[in-house]
Amino acid sequence: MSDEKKYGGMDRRTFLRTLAAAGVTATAGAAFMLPGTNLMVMPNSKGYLVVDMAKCMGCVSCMMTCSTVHHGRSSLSLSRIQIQQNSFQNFPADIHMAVCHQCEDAPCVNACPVEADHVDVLFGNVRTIDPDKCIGCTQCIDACPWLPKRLQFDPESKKVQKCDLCANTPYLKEKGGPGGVQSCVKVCPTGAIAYVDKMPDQDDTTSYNVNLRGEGWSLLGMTTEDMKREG
Amino acid sequence: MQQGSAGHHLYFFFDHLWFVPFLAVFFAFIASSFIYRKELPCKNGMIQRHDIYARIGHWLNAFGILLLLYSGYQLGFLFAERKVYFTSGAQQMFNLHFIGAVTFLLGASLWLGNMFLDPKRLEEHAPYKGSLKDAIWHYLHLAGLVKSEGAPTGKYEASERLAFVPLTLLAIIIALTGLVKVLAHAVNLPGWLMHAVHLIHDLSSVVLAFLLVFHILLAAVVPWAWPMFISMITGNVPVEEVKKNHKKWYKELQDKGLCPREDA
Repeated sequence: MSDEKKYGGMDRRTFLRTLAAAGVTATAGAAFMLPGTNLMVMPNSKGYLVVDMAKCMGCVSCMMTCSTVHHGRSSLSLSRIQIQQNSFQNFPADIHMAVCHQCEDAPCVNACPVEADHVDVLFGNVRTIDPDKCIGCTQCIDACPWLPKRLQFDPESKKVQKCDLCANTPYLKEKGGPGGVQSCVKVCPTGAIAYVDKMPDQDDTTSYNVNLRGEGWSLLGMTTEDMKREG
Repeated sequence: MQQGSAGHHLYFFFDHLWFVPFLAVFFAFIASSFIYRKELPCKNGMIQRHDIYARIGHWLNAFGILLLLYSGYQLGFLFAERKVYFTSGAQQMFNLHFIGAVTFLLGASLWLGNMFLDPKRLEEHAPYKGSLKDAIWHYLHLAGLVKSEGAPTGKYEASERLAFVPLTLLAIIIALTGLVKVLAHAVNLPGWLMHAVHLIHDLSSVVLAFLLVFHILLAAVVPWAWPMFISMITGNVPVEEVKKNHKKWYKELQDKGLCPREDA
């Protein structure tokens, strides 16, 4: 083009080519240095909570400690683990323990429109919510395929929370998260909650309810039978 | 309740190919630097209004934006719920959004590169002093409310030139915030930034969708726009149409010697 101006000894075409070539080089370099972080196709969590509903006595100590280590307050409403009791049912259906499954395909993570619900690669790929990014749209709660939902809306902060295996626990002295301490496991007086690093069978809806009762349990006159229940 | 490994092996373009949208921008810049455009003379009663590069850029933008709006709607925007709940559905929509983004960025960057090389083209598109008055007068005339045609029209009508500003600004805002969203898949960006970026991206998209409806109505649906709409496909517009409705442009073409003078 005849009217193309020169800038610093460089015409517009040369400038555009130089800029584009530098951009291609920088992007290709960054692609090499920063491979995809699998935020949508997520790596498996390195830890899981499993429970024994036949062992739980419904003391809700796990709920109180969950709230305490995360929020500094003992409130059943702020707990991420949920113990439901039904006085009209007989053992073992009188108690249901609901823990987050740290699902393999985590629908809650995929549902989050603002990447607040994410896979935390710094804490063993635990599925967790960044409260700074959460906008409280509750799409993650809708997406959770389990009942009760394993994510809770905090009406005070207007944000959603979920079990992070104690990764983000300002009121817990020990290191939490996968490979660290889980306060609910630590305080349960009957040992009805356990931390495992092997992923429970994702196609079996009862795989998170396991038998944690040992020999001593039968000595107390209680059953050690396996009891299949959806968790 | 049954869940399983449905999403584990799904391929998300935004995760694995996050660098492609950035490459699309730079490749389009390179392509535009090798494009040499020239105005063609009147031939066989037709005038070239949009050369092949303009048409490629326009339809890449159109296809990309429609794909982005559809997949964006399905994925949920602002506080509207996501329409696809399962991982496979989200994967399809995210991948469609990716294809739309790359297509749009190719078209927009090609256009941007051309504008940079030939700023006179930008002047043709940009509004001028009195655009609003001319646009109102033009539609009043079309509606039969005033007799006078108003000021002679150039290559682009006053209303097109007015629409150019919000459409371009919105496209730039959506593209930039979209690139930040893609970048968030590769590096950890602060929460406040992502808040702002998501809000601006979604709000701008809603406004763009409304403007797009008007653009399609006024540029393709109303009968008087048909000759110009066809020119976005074939590139050419009949000389008679230009003489009648784009008098200023026809005079410019005559002045450049691209069209014969009536008295010649």
